[in-house]
Amino acid sequence: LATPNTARISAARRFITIVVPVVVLLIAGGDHLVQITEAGVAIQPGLTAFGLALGVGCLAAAGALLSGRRIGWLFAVSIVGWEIVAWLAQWQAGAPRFGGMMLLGISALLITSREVRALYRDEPD
Amino acid sequence: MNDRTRPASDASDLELLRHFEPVLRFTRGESFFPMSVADYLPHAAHMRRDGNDETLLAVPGQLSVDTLATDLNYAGPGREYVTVVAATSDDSVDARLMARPNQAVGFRRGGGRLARVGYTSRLIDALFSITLLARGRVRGTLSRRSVEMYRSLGPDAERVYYGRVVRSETWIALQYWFFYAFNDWRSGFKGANDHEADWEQIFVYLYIGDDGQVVPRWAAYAQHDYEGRDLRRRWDDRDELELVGDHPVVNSGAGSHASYFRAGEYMTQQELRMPDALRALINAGARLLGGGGARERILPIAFIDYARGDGESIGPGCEREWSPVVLDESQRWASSYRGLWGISVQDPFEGEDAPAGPMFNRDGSVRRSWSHPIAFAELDAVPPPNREQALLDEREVDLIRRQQELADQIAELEATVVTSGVEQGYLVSLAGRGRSPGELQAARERLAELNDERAANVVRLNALRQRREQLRATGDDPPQAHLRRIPRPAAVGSTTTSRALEFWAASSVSLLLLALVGIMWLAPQSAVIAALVVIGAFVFVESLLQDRVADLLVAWTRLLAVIILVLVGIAFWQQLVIVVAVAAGLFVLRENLLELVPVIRPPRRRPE
Repeated sequence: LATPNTARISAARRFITIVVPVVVLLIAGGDHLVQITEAGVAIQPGLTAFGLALGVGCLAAAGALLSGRRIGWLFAVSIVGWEIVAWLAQWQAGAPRFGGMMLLGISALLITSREVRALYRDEPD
Repeated sequence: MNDRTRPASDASDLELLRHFEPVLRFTRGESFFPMSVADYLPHAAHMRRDGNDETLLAVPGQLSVDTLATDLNYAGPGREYVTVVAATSDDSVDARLMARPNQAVGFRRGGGRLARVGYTSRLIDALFSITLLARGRVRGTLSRRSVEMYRSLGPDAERVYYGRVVRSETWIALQYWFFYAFNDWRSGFKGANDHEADWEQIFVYLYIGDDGQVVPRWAAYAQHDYEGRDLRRRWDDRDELELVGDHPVVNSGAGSHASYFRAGEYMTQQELRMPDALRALINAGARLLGGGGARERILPIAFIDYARGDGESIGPGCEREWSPVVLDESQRWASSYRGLWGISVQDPFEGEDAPAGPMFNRDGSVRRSWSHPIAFAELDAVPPPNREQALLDEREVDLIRRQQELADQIAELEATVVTSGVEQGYLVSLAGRGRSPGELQAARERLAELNDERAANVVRLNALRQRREQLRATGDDPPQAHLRRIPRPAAVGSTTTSRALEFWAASSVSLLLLALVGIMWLAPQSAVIAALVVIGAFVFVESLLQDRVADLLVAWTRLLAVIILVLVGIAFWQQLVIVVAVAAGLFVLRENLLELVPVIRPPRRRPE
C-alpha cells in the first residue's frame, strides 16, 4: 500500500481551513449588502447600520484572513463571532437560515482551531 | 571558611551547631525575629481550656522555662496554652494600638495577589474573607499587642535559635528551631493567617568524611506545601542553596516566617476547606467531565509570601549574631509541655491556632521532625556519598552469593519436579490416578518462586552495576536529581501586575456584584440578558488587562459555533441520523473490502 503523503494532506487541510472561512465570509458579507440594498429604508436604521457594518466587516475579514497577519486573524474571529450572533438573532426572530448557520459554525471552528492559530502565530494559553 | 576548619566528628553539639548555623534574611518591615522562650514566658499567662471553661494557671511573671511543665499545680483536664496577647488585654491600650498602621514600617507591597489569579480565585478569596467572620480568628489587636511586647524587649533583644544534634549510623542531623512571638502574615502582609507564637525549623545534614571531619551534604527547610526529599537541597547546588562560608542562607517569609531557599515573592495556595462528601461530589463531577482524578485543592486561594531577604539579617558576619541554645530532651519546657504556645481561637481550619512546641504536634503527638529528623527529609534511605560505593560492592557480593544458592536450589527442584512428573504419569497409566498431586504442585510453585527471585536479582545486579559505573564516570548525581517539585519565586513586575490590573483585580468582584444587584433592581424583566452582557463586559476588560484577548475571543467564538451547530442539528436531526448512518455504513464496508484485497489480488512476488 502507498504511504500517504502527509505533507500534501497537511497543505490541503491548511488550504481548506483558510479558504472555506474566506469564502463563507465573502458570501455572508455580500448577502448582508444585497439585503440592505433590497430592503432599502424598510428596516430600522439601527439594524441597517449593523447589517452594513457586518457586511463590510465580513468582506474586510476575508481579506484580513488572507493577509496572514495575526491582527487580521483576530479581526476575522471577532467578525465571525458577531456574524453568528446576528444569525442567532435571525433564528430567534423565526427566520432561520440553517444552511448558512451550518457553514458559519463550521468556519468558526476551523479558524479557531489550534492549527490555524499556529499558522497566525497565536500561542494558546 | 574551608574544609580544613570543619569540626571533627566528635566535636561538641554546640561546636557543630555554630559551625553550620544559618544566615536568616528577613523582608523589610518584619516585626518579629527569633527570640528566646526565656524572654517570652515571663510576659505570658498560663491557661487551660476545657470545653468552654477557661482556667488561669499562672499570671504573667510567674512563668519561666523552669516552671513550665514542671509545676504539678498545672496538671488537669483540657488543653493548656501560654499566651502573651490574652494576658495583656486592655481596651484603652487596644484603642491606642489600633490607631497605628498595622503594616510594618518599610514594607513595600508587591504586585497584588488578586491580579495574579483569575475570577474564580477572587470569588473564592471573597468567600474565604467571609468565613473569617464566621470562624474563630485572631483579632487585629492581638498582633499589635505582640508587637508591643516584642518591642518592650528592646532593640538589642537576643536573636536566638534552639539547636539540636541527632547522630545516626549514616547522618548527623543539625536541627535549628526558631521561636517567634507572633505570626502576623494576614494582618501585616495580606497573607492567609495570623496566630500567636510561631515555631519554624531547618536542618543541616552532615556525614563523617574519610579524614574524620564532618562534611555538610544537605540543607532542608520545613515548608508547608512540600515534604520528604523535596525539602532538602544539596550543599553544592548553587542554583538553589546560597551559602555564606559554611552557613546556609534562609529567606524568611514576611510575617509567616516560612523558610525559602531563594529570595523572592512566592505564590502559595491555601484551600477553602469543605465537607468530605462535598469534596467527593466535586471530584466525581470533575472526573465525569474529563477533568482527571481527585484534585488536592478544589477551592484554592492564592496568597503571596514575601521572602525578599532585603531586611534584617541574622548570622555570622551579619548585622545581628546568633545566641544559640542547645536543645535536648532534658529541657522539660520542650519535652514535657504538650500545650500550645499561644492563644487557641478554636479555628476548625487550625490556620489561626497557635502551634505546639518543637517536640509536639497540636494534638500532643510527637512531631516526626523531632522523633526522626533524618527520615523527615527522606534521608533514611540515602547513604552518605563516601559510603555508597562500599554499600554497592557489599550488595553485589550478597546478590552473587544468593544467585549461586538459587541456582543450586533450582537445579535440585527441577530434578525433583521432573522425577515426580514421570512418576505421576506412570502411576496414572497403571492405576488410573496419581499419588499425592499436591506435592508435585507445591514443588512446581516453589520452583517458580525461585526462578522469579533469580530473574529479579539479575535486574538488581544490573541496576547496581550501572549505578556503580555511573558514580565512577560522573562522581555524583546532578544536585537536583532527587527533586520532584521546586518552589519558584513569582515573576515581579510583569504586565499582569500592572497598576491598572491591580486596581481592577481589587475592585472587579465587588463592582460585578453591585452591577448584578443593580440589574435585578432596575430591570428584572430582562435581568438574564443584561447580566450576561455585564458579565461578558467584565470578562472582556479582564482579558484585555491580562493580555489574553485572543484566548477569550476564540473561546467565545467556539461557544457560539457549537450553539449554532447544535441548533442546526436539532432542526435536521433526522437527516443528520441518516448521514451518520450512511457514513458509518460506507466506512465499515470500506474496511471490510480492504481486508479482502490480499485475497482477491495476492501481492506479486518480486523476481529474485
